[in-house]
Amino acid sequence: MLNLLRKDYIALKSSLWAILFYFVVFSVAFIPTVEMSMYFVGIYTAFSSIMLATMIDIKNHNHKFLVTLPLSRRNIVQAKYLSAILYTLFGVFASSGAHWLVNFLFPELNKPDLSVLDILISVGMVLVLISIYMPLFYALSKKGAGIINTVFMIVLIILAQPVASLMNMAGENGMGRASVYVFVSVCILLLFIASYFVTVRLFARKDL
Amino acid sequence: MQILTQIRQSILSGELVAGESLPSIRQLAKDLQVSVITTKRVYEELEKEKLIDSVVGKGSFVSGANQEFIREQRLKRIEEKMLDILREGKELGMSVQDVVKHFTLLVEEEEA
Amino acid sequence: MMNAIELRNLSKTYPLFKLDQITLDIKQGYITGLIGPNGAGKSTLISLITGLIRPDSGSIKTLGKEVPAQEINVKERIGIVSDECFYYEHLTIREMKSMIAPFYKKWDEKLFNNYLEQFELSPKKKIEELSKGMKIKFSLAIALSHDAELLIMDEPTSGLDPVFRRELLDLLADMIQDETRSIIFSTHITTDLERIADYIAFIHKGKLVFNEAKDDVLERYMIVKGDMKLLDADTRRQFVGIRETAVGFEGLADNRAEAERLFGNYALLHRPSLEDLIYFTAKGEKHHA
Repeated sequence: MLNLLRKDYIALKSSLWAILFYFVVFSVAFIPTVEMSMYFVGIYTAFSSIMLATMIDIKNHNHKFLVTLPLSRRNIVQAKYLSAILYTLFGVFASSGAHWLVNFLFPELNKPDLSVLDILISVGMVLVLISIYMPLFYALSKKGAGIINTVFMIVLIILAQPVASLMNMAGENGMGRASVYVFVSVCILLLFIASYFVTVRLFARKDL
Repeated sequence: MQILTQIRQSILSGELVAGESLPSIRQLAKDLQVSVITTKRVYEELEKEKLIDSVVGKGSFVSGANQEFIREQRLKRIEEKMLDILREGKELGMSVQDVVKHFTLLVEEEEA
Repeated sequence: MMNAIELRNLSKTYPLFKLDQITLDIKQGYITGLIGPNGAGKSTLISLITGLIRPDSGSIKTLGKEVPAQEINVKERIGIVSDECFYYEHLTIREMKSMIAPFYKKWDEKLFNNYLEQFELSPKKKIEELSKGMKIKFSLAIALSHDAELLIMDEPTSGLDPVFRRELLDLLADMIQDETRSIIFSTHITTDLERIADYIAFIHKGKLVFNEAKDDVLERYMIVKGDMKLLDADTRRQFVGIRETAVGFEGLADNRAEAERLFGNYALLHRPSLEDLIYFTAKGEKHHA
């Protein structure tokens, strides 16, 4: 596992600047303009990083290379899900950090205070995205994976506004009791785990 | 087969001495850049002809056969060649006497 | 463990091609050459063995273990060299090595560096700067640096110059000095196998034609070159494939004794090369199609 993560690190070393670049771009784009920017910056940064990582895999026919190493297909998927979680945490916490800083330096922007709930919601939404994205990515061929990436990017852009409005509404009405949050969190976790097993299944039988 | 002939020749001519060790079949295969099975068969054949002995774990050695035996082997070779000559002569339409006469002629020429 | 690889009734179907019920044993301690014309199924077979693709039916046992069930254990002990090397182009040799080495328990850093030196590869060079031949050399250096018991090579010599091809033969022979090591070598450049292969497995149109000791095979077949008038309905049956020209014919007979008996005095007979086997088998198929 560690070896796989190290492998990703080495492969992506030169692209880390790209991730930071995304982060900066999203921050600059959303923070001044959108009230709920904390979500957007976090989710977009996290998911863009994940897509970047998977695109590098495809470009280098990564899977054909990994298959020659002492690894099982399951290991490969495990490592991917694990790094997806790491990117998620990075994106969300970087966003939180940025917003906290902004609140500190530019109080006039009137950013809502960050709560643990905000962080959890961001993480939850990225996990949902990952749960849908991963099985599709691993099931499809090289061309298909490229298409999936494009589709997801478009979907993320299109859904930005409606989701923002939805969250605004939810924020105003209050999301209700804690039990709702717990229920949704459990559902997301289950979805994530189910997605992992589906992906392992798909990938184990796939011809590379 | 070339390798077989060469090694056999070396043993019969005394170039390879009795008791001398031969390279392992794999080493020989590598040196000659041929397959391992080829050298394996060469050694098996030589063993059959009692020209070499193979000791498991130690390798192969030129057999400690005595001079008499080697002489016998070489004689056998000559006989085979002689039969070859007679056969070829027959194909050319020569009788055994013709071949012997021709042979004698050649020897006389050589000595002259 | 007597067989390095055991394939039983292995099948894989594609729209235009089918690998059909391949049952094959690759003997331990020897070099097996996998030959056949392009499109015969060699690469498919190698891909099935390395786990790149999954069979539709049949089983694969490598180094005594079922794959894919125990593929991690198996992959520790095998080295794979292919003419399609998939490395990260933007990384250097050293970086690729630092990515790969930790996966192997028996990685030998010193040995790897020796190979780099021997193959004249600079660790600082980026993969994208390497020629095809150098990429294969790099693959080879990696494959040989973790004490692999089985070396699987898919068209490894197509990008190599004649000098290194000879060196490669020496490297392979070195590896085989240890009787527990095995090599399987798929190629359409059969001259390399002509010398050092112990066994030859011939794949044609998705089927296994034979898997025998090279010497036996080459002694079983015979090339006959003679006048057209030697060919009639009966004698044609002797041949796997025939090439007819205005000045005569050239054919591959699959029974040496018969060929000698029938044609011995009237035609030129000689031992075929592996390339002859492939060529005439393919030619023969076309005839019957």
